Amino acid sequence: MLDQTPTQPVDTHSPAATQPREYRFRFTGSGGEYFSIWIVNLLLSILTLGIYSAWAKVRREQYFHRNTLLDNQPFDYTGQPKKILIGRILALIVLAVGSSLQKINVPLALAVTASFALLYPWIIVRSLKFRARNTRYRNLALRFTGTTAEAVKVFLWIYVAVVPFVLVSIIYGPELAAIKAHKQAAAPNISSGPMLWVFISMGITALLFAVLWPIYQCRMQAFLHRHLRYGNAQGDFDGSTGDFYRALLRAAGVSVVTIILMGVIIAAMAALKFPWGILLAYPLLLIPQAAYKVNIINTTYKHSSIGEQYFYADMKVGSYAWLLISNLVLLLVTLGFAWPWINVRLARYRCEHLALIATPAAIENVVGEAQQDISAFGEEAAEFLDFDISL
Amino acid sequence: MTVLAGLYFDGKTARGAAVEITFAPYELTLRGDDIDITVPIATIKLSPRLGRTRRQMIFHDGAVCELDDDPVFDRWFSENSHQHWNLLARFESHWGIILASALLIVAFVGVIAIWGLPWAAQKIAMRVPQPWVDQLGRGSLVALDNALGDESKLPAVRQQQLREKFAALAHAAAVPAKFEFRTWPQLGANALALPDSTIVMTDKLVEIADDDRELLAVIAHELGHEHERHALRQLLASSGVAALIFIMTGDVSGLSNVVVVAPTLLTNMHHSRMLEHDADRFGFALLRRSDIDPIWFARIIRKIETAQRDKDAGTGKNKNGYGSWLRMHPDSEERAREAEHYRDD
Repeated sequence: MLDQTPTQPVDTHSPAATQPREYRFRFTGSGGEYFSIWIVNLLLSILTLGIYSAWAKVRREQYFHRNTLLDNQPFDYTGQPKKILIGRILALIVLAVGSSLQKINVPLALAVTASFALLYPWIIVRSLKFRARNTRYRNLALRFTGTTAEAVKVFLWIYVAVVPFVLVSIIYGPELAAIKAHKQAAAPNISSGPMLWVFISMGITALLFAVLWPIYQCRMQAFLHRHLRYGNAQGDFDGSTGDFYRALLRAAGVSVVTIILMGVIIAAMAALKFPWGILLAYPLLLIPQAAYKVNIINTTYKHSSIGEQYFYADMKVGSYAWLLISNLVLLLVTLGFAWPWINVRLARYRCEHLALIATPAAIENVVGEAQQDISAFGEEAAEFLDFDISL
Repeated sequence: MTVLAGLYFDGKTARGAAVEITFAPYELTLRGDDIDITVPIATIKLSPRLGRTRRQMIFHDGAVCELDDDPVFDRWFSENSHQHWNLLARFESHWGIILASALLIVAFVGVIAIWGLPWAAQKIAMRVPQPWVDQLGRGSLVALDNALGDESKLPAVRQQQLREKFAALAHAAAVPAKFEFRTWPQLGANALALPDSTIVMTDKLVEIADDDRELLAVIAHELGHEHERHALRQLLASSGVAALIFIMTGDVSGLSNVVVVAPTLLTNMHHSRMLEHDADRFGFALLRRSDIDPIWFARIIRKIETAQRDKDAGTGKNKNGYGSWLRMHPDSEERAREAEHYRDD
């Protein structure tokens, strides 16, 4: 319980208070404790046909926020279950309509998907605002000031990649449908022109994705971090696209090595006539995932700051991949009942590898924004429209 | 009276002030540097207990006083106000309730996966309009052809002859089915009912049959699948499991997919066996109506089983019989015997 002792306030004028030092994030939750919370949440969600799941989410978020400590002070989560419930109902409707249309009426499904893609930035911004506003530290709320227009500008980088494929699909769509119909009737000699164009456009789209993804990641992280406010402390981000190209190249390097390793395992198992051995190669797929995540997170925090304080993340590909792989095994062995433990393990890992470089004085000196700074109407409207879709 | 240590945040700055909390009936006092506040308990909101995390007293002006979770304080607080918010925490720390919850959840998921979803899937599937069903199945044959090849080595005349016989049976069953023949060596002697009312028979099956009535018996079974829209029901039941998990956990991303796997597998296995059995019964009745003895079904199913065993023995696969417990079809011998003893009822 020593961990939980409230910190003594510092004298902000002493020399020690103005000396920067490293504040590691800490996570104090335990798997066993969260298991009991999770199981009660699950039972009540089932008994209420899912309605309680919004309240369950608040309890889960509160558990994880309150067990996340920075400078021995916990975070807190103040989301309103009713708003989360509205967000969930909306999400469920969109999902259900989208997936059932896909099976029944393809053009209509495409229209719905397209309009959802256009709505996506708005939804993301709403949900970021909701999340920030409801995260508190030392009784001051975070705020997210990004706008939908700015989010659209970020997403444009990735929308661009899909353009060639969409254009070709629109131009050659009818012809392709005709080819498909003919193929079923086994008619020979159909021009392969449109098919070729589809493949070319898919290739270009894939290439554009690869080239644009680091730029998109960079813009996205800048968007997320520059618009974060904690009291009067403004978040900032000074990463460049070059940083993200390097990060993703490193991840790509790890992926190549992993694929070679998997090939070796599969070949060895084939030589040994032990087909089940191929299952051993499967968890290795988590290594590229870990490499991607670790490189993105480390690069992002290296360039992220709030007020005059800097973040610093030092996740390692090896240990994070091991965490993911062992989590997967735990989950399989326990038929899913290890869910709370793996979430606690993930949270603990993330916290232990994230730090804030700050002066004690700076943390204490953050001042909440005066209420009149925010347009009352804007705030009200945002509050009314806010819902949380991050499920 | 007890004195507790707390940390006071006024909500205007991030600065925390150490305070001593003292209690009097129906009010409490916070004292620290520059702080001396006495407030009635009724105006304070106490955050519900949650694990071992620190508790928060929220004052009506937005200020917060944090303190360690302390049962003494809790008892005192609930005695002096009318807030009883620790019911959840009491559940969460009661091992009997946790265990009971875990068992209840397993039982619930089991019941839903084994009976609930198949039942709901049937109710829904039979209400879906035919054009939607066709749309749904469109492309399933093309996809299989792309993967397994789209040829048959049967002579066209033989194909035509069988198609006519099958069509007559389909007509009797009032199922608008199309019939296709494929080599598809990976599937051995087999027949499939695809969602778009296409029934595919492999060359191998035609080969091992000694009498066309054996093939008709298989087609009758497959027509049962088509008539009862089994492919659609399978699909609905599987997506039902995913929806169930989504509702329960609000999470269908990443690792939770693994959590979904177990109930999905459960549903699929049980559901498939149930559907096979239903299709058998439909087939037997149809054969009877068309003056074909269901005993032909018994013959062909034993042949398929033997052919499959030979194939497995030939490739050295299935030597230890692993995977047999996961078999979609109910025990072949059992089905053959059912066909032999089938009576109209």
